[in-house]
This record gives sequence, C-alpha cells and structure tokens, in this order.
Amino acid sequence: MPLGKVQTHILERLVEMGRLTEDQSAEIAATPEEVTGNALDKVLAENHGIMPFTLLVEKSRALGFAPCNVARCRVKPASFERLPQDFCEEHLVLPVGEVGGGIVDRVCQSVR
Amino acid sequence: MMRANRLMGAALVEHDLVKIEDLDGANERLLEIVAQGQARQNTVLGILAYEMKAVREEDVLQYHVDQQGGGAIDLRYYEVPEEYQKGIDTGACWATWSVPFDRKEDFHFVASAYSLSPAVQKYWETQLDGPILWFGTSLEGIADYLGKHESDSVADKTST
Repeated sequence: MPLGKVQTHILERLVEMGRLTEDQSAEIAATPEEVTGNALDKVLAENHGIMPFTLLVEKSRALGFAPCNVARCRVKPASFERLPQDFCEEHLVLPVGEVGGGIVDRVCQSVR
Repeated sequence: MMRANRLMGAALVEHDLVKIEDLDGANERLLEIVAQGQARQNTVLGILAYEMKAVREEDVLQYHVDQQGGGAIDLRYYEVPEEYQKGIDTGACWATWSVPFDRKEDFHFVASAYSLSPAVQKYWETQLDGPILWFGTSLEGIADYLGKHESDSVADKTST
C-alpha cells in the first residue's frame, strides 16, 4: 500500500473537514509508488490548496497530539524549572506552562 | 451562565467524573452564590473541585486531553494577539469560563475550563466563524486572564 497509516488518517481527516473530496482523497491514495511525508505535504499544498496550519492540525491529530501555534508561546526563565533545557533540546520539547498541576509542553514537528 | 453550568455538571456526571448526588449539592450551592451576585464564583466546577472536593480539576483537564483530543494552555505563557485582547466580550467569557485567544488560517483557538459543556461549545461555535481548537485550562487561569484584562482596561480608560 503506497500510503502509510498516518498518511491515510490525514486524508480521512481532511475529507471529514471538507478540505478534500472523497474522489481527491482516493486519487492521492491510488498513487502507485511510496509517498514520503514531505511529498504528501507538497501534493496537498500545491494540488489541493491545503494551507500549512490546516495540514499541521490534521497531522498532529493523526499522531495523537493537540496542535498549537508555538510561534506565540513565550519562553521564560521559569519555563525550564521543571524540565531542564538540555533535556528539552535533546527531545525537541518546549515546556510552555503549567495547568492543573501538569506541565504543558509542545513537541516540535519531528523530521527525524 | 446557568446553562453553561448545568450542562457542565451533566457532562461531569456523564463522563463519570462526578457523582450525581455531589452534583445536586453543587447546584444548590450555585443557586446561593448566584443569589449573592458573586459573578466570578458562579462555577459549578469550582464548587465541586474546591468547596466539596468531589473532583480534581486536573482530572477534568486530563479527560479533555485524553478523551476529547484537546490541548492544554497556560495563557501566562502565550502572546495573545492585540485584536483578541481588545475585542474580548468579558461577560460571555465569564459566563462560559472560556477565552478566544488566537486565530490561525480559519481555525479559532479557545481556552476553556468548561470545554466539556455542550452549551459552551455551541455558544462559541455560533460566535466564531470557522473550526475551533479547544485548549483546556484551569478556572484560575481564565479568572487571572480576565481579571488582568479588566484591570488593564480600567487603567487605559483612566490614563486617557
């Protein structure tokens, strides 16, 4: 199967959101060769006009994360009190506050 | 406000976060508070969590994240765009324990301590044009944000 599970889920979500039609989704899924994540992003953006944040939202949902606009998150000295900065850099995690006794963090889009 | 609270209480029971008898007690207490006119204390969740200790607010947040796929937000660590700071309807925010705080493409970001309440979801879906991303936060987080917003507004009016 050319599309992976996460990629298929992204397409399903885009159809649910009305951003793609069933036919468009089926056409992409019918691609005979393996499709990398970047290649799928490109097809969705260039051929179907899917905006970058929309794609990020559906990608994060497919991976089980909640999307956020990290560009607006403030990093303060207190940000690294509970999770050390070197740990965060190693694991591509940004702590952005505490809610109800838990740490709120953002996981960077990983390409590794 | 009462509808937001009533459906929040019902959702807490429906999701097994609170017992029905505790909710009955909290609703009676809420009516007393409403009669006293303490608008900022008008929260069935606050009564259940902090007066009756019938539920932990963090468990409600965790439910939102785990079961509803929502995010969490600490507004102290977020640069809220000016348009969202100025155009805020504080009455609606207090009534729903929710704050719209950003927009990206056509997605609206709403921070809420009441995201489990269908009445709150419906209210903001009607107000905002486009899909909503819900971010769970604490009652204290909402109250701090709105309190700061109100004191900043008073300071602005005084200085002009």
